[in-house]
Amino acid sequence: MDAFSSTCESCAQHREQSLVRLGLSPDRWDYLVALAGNPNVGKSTVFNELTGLRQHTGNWPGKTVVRAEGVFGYEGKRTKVVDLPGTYSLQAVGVDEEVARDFVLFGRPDVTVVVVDSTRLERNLNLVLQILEITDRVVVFLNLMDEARRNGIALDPSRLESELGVPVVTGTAREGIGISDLLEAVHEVATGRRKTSPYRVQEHAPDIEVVVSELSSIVLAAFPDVPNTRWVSLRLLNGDAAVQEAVRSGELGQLSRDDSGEVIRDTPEPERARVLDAATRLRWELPADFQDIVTARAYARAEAVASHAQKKGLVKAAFTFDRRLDQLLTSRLLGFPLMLLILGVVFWLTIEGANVPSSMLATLLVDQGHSWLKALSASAGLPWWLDGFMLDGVYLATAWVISVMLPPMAIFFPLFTLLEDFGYLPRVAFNLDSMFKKAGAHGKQALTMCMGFGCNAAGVVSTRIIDSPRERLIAIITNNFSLCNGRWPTQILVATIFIGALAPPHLGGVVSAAAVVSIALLGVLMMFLSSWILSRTVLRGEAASFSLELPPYRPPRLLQTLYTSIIDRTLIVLWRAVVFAIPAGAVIWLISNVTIGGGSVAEYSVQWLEPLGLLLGLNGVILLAYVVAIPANEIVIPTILMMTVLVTPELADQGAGAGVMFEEDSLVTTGALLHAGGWTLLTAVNLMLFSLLHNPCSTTIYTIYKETRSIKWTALATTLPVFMGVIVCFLVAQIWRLAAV
Amino acid sequence: MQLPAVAEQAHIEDLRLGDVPMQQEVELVSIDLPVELAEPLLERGVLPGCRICPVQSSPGGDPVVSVDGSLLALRRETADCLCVRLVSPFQDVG
Ligand SMILES: Nc1nc2c(ncn2[C@@H]2O[C@H](COP(=O)(O)OP(=O)(O)O)[C@@H](O)[C@H]2O)c(=O)[nH]1
Ligand SMILES: [Mg+2]
Repeated sequence: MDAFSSTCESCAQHREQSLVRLGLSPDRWDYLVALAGNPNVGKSTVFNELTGLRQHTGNWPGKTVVRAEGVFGYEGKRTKVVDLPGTYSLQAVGVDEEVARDFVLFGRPDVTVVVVDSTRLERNLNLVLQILEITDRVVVFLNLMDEARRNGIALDPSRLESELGVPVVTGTAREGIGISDLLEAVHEVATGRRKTSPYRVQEHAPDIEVVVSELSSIVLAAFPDVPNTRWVSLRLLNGDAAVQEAVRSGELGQLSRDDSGEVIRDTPEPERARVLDAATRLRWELPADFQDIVTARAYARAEAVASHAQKKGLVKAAFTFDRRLDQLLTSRLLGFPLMLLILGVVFWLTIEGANVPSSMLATLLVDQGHSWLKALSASAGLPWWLDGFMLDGVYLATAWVISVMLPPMAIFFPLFTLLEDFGYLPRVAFNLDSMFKKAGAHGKQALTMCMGFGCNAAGVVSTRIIDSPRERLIAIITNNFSLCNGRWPTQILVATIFIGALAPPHLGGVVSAAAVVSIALLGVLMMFLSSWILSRTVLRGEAASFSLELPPYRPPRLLQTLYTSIIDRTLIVLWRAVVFAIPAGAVIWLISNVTIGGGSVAEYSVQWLEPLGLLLGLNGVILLAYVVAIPANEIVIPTILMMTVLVTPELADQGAGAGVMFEEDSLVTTGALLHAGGWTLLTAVNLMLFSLLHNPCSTTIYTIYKETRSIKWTALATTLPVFMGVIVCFLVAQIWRLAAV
Repeated sequence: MQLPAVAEQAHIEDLRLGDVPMQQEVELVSIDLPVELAEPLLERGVLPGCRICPVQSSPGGDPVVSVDGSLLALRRETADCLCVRLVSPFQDVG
């Protein structure tokens, strides 16, 4: 196998030369390794170092929402790595905790690597201790050693190792430091060469201890091979549904099976039932607040272990730079203005920067590429309909989408990722929290909103970081009010042609950026408004208490950021747009060329939609474009341009024929075209509004359904924005016309 | 939930984190919240006995506290449920 024999050039450490990153090849493996840890400690960074993949990393808690898997080879063995979502404990009820816990317990990894933030040892050890209760095959990776050093925190890893009874490795994952030691430790534990003796709770408070011991001996009788019956008993007494189910089905007995091939006895059904009955009975013998007592003790233990491992006598230099910056970025006075400024600069850079490459791409792909292909097909003698369908429909739609979307995305996504890596997003969440609170929503909704600026489907998935179901639903339903990148090209183009043009040329870019920012802000306002309405009607309830960690600012790595944001975000989103543009191009060409008694289907539809369009301050073409573009917002503008040519008689000779996606690249010509199609400033403004306020794209709708598993909420999330869009556009149109008279 | 306090001081039991001035370090005595709401705080290192210090407030008036070396944004309502006591009359920045 090729990948096995090639060595990795980028490895600094020589021992790492036997590390072969295999990326995604999850077909078979020798060992299974789980990566667990608190949020934002560098798990995904470790994962990427090990597998050579580029799992998204970012400086805010809770961004690994889906489980990532990858494979690496080490000393001739293939190891599959699973990057689990970050959790502070395995006991809370959130989705992430459940995923992580179930995997560590039922996924039976050969080794669980717990990645730990060395600057916050105490809090991190709480999770380590919980994991040690479940499995003895653990390696602890003390990450972020660079930050610890910078902040004057000194640790004693060997002391920690002897207290925890499992290997402890230190490192700085971001620089690849310590990865080779980690590999070695993982390998030793996986192969069983190194035996561990994990720290476990020896004794609970007396009245609890009695009950736990009693249940524990019953569990042991039923499942003699289970490694930690005391932990199982405690979970049963806590009413942990997953553990109860594992007992009921007998799966618990299989968990201890290793590869030694010894036969494990299946526990017969009556014995299993006896365990569950005993747990139910014994729970009554516990003090009412026993969970509190157990929890408090657990934290005290973590604290004790942490304090032993922390070297004393060093002054802890506070994170002064961070504090200063925070005082600025989240201050009462400047917090909001700075937020707007940053958002404005990002949009302005995107608009200004994308202009030139966009028209270059359009010239290349649309003008030259299209004529060249046309000439080729003419010389090959293709029938007119095939040539039209393929080149005028499918090819042009694709070319258009690429030239309109690629440049802005290639600028916006890296900028956004830089902000994310730096640690700014949680500050945004923090600034906006008081408004979310008033709206009855969760503070973390601001984070999911930010994700939505990239892609609403991603935003909807990221709502998993909100653990209360009511607030999570609100966040899902209102995510579409975040102006996703599929809609910026529309916003930017229309703003540049109709609004930027009103300003003197040198200010055009700034004015257009301001217009786009206003639309984005209006979206945020609508999000607050609809959250407020929802939390007072169908999703009634009080805002749950909320706490959000503000991670330390971390200097972003430019090259890495550029690479991940281009590969992960830009190309993936672009690919999706292209996939949807192909059939849309075909549909446009078909409805323009299939005629029923004199007119094409497109012409009829536009005429039929025209009265409604005018009522909303839009027109029939725009409405039809939104129908055609339901699969993806990206193709709205190309569709509008093409159909405008089609239904405006004076323009009919502009395009190369019916249903050809319009080929003009210059903004001036596009503007002239739209003016000729009867567009006014009102049409432009309302198109910008409608592009903000309309139904989510098909991918987002499907994602909403997957996340909520409810047709009702999916339908609400789909119709609410259109409903608002229609009302807003209608009102604006009426007021505009009244004012104009 | 009432976690065992390090030292009970009944007479100042009433001091809540929400009332503590900026940059004044205090010690957490207990968390006056139901367990499912207290849990996320405990997980983030807000434990009875720990040192905690409000460092600034948001545009909306909610506090940011420094605890265990990291910054935590709380809602005012939550801060009002944290019973604290003074540890020193001096100002001490985190
Ligand atoms: N300074 C420093 N930053 C790191 C280190 N490891 C990861 N990071 C950064 O910490 C942030 C969180 O990392 P990530 O891997 O996404 O954490 P996860 O949430 O645990 O998966 C990112 O901005 C990383 O670049 C490290 O060793 N040192
Ligand atoms: Mg991650």
